Amino acid sequence: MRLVELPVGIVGCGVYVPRQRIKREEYQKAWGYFAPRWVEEKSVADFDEDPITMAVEASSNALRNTGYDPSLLDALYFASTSPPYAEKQNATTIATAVGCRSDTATLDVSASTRCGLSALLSGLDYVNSSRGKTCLIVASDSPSGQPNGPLDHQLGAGAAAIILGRDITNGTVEGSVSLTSESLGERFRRDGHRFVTTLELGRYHDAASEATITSCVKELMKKLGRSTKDYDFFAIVGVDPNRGLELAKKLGFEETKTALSSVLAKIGDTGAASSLIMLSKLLESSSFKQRVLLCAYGPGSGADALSIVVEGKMKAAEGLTLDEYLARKNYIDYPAYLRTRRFYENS
Amino acid sequence: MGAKCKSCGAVNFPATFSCLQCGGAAFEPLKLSGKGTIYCYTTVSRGGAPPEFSTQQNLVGAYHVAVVELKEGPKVVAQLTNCKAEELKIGLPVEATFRRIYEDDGMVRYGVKFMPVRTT
Amino acid sequence: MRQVAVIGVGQTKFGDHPEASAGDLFARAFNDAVTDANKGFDPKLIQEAYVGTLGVGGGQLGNFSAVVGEAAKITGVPITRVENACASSGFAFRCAYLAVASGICDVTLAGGVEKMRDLSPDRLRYWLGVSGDTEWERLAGMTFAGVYALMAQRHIHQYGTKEEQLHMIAVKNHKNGADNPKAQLQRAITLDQANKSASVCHPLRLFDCCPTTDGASAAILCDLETARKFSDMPVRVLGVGAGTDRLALFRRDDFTTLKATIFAARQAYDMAGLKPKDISLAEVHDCFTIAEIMAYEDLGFCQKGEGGKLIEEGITQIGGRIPVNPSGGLKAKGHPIGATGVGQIYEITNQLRGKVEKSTRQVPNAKYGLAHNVGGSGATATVHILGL
Repeated sequence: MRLVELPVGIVGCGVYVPRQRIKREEYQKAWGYFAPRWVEEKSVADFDEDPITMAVEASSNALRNTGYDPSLLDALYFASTSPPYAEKQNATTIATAVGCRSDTATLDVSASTRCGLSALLSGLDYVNSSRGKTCLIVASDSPSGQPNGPLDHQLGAGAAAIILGRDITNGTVEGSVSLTSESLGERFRRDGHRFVTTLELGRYHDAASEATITSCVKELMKKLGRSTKDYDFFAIVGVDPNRGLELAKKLGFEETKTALSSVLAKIGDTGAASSLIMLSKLLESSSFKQRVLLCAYGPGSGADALSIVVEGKMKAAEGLTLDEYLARKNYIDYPAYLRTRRFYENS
Repeated sequence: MGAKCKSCGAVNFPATFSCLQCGGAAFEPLKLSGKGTIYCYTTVSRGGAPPEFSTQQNLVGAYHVAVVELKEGPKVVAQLTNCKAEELKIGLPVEATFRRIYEDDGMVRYGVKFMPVRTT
Repeated sequence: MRQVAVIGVGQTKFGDHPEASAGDLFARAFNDAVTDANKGFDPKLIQEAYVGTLGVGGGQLGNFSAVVGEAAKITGVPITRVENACASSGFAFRCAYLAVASGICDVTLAGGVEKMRDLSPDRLRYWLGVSGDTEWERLAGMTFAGVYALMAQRHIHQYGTKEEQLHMIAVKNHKNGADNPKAQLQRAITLDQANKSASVCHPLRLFDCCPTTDGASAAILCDLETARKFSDMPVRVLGVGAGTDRLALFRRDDFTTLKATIFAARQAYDMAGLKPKDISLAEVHDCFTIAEIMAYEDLGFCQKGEGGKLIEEGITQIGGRIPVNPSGGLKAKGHPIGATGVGQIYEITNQLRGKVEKSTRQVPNAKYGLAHNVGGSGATATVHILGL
């Protein structure tokens, strides 16, 4: 009997959103304004949480949802724009806490809000090349901006993990396009600095993101011979959702097919985790086969666009779906926000 | 990961060199569920914290520490998180979660804390 | 085994001593002990010394024995630093006793010293966590206050002990301490004050916790025959016991009792041929008020779980059936960690001889006294029974 290798696909996913939430009204009380119109409230990591702890939770959830034992993972990739360590591999700590074997390939991917999808693409390569059978990619982020500036207002916290393998597929990646595009000032954080910042150049940034995103999406559809009609869902992360809607319309996607801004409205901008959180939501909530185009933009980096077919068969374990995490919350006020985010601590 | 004694079956956690119950030295690994109940707890208020937790105490004030009796038998001592003083009581069901414990020598020490099992 | 007696005891005031080094403090206590051997005693007769200290403050950790030798001017003889956390000098006393009882020495010195008040709060709290289980208890965020708080909570849960009963211990000991010129805290408190004081580690409040203290204590031991040459009232060491238990509270079977105390007490009672009801007074290890309640039970003064009742009924007041901590205990007299154990011997010796500084604290017709010294959260303990 000939052994047929099953195609590589998405086995399952897991998410984690911290309980603490802060409403736009708290910012308004503290600063007199709240910059992002698209955020109602956002998630806030507690003082004893960080991208590593959230990644451990999301990864453990992904393992529980899929019924996989951690010893089955051959690789674990970690993506974040705010890793706790700049040097000392974060993926290693996560892999150890989750219970992976010592011969697991670990990788940290960072430096852009796009890197969640970039890591996913690398993970696909890992399994496709048969370096290993199963790879877990976890994007987990908790970026911070200067408290007295507008960028911090939108920054939230969360994590999502995707398991890729050949066993069962609850989704397949049909194809991808990655573009690189150098531009400066839209969103960046220098080495040794805690706060991500922006030059607030408005139209210049918009021009850069529009050009990159539209090229990326068009090229992908061309490469696969698809048109906007073939997609049930379209999502862009890395620009604010209202801009995302505008760009979607320009590209020809119907408004009904671009959604999930409702999710972001509740957790804010989760940096590198946004793309995988969106993907997880799609995997969990689809009850029938759907084709999705997901594009992640990284300011000053470029974009990755993926065409994914979601099978609509995935079932998450009880209590672990994104919606359930979103429902479990405690609201905090602005002084509590400053305390738990350690804005008072000496660096 | 716990250690089940091959002589008497008692589950030890953390794994030690001799079984707490019978003194035996041969174990097999047993994955623990992370679920248990509070056996006793205290609230560490200002002045009661070891120096590694001074920063935490300054940031969030009083914190709670409990001895948790795990479902599988052994007792562990750990901080509680995500809970209010009013809801704590002996017998409260809790589950393990992975958190930052403290920082020492510039390194972050991660570990396990327990939080009340919740649906909302 | 030979009979052993205490011929002289000395103790500095417990409290703040910014003017004295650890060595200075020990010298004072030692000199007082020499004078206390009231028929005249030449320190050069001391053949061996055991001194307890944890080494919290003061600056000299290693080879502390050399400091002792110079302070007591006995450099040359064997001196050993004994460390078993807060039971250090209790164990030092035990070693000094064994050296004489075995016949190896005729005259030995036991003592203890600690400087704690010269440290910043962070550094001090570091030391307050070292004698517990470092790996799990301290790094879960607890010092002793936390560990004893857990014991208190279980005692309340298992036996219905009331939080107020804990505070009654504090009130009693502060009352006794107010009459002790050598006590660190000489101010009586009311039950109301104690009940309302700030929470340290729930359910323990401010007045449930002993202070940090500088101080030193010394006792000179001698075989009974020779003792009568140096003192007209040598106090015999009738019972000696010591025990150990698991370091971490959470590894013990019962959080409401100290097995080390029970073991040590049994040894001491058996050796002395006495029962708990024979004891006239006791100095017990009340580092936290719950510890005194547990000590009542573990030393056999009442049944398990009845400790709260005992304090509530006033039985352990001076004037009650079994006065406990007439000196004010660790709570009011103070707790210079290494010096506490022999400090208890100091009080008991004075009580048995009828020579307590203030007569209001004198226990009438004191015949047998018990000293109970515990290390940390109960990993080590000593019990000594003395009588005239």
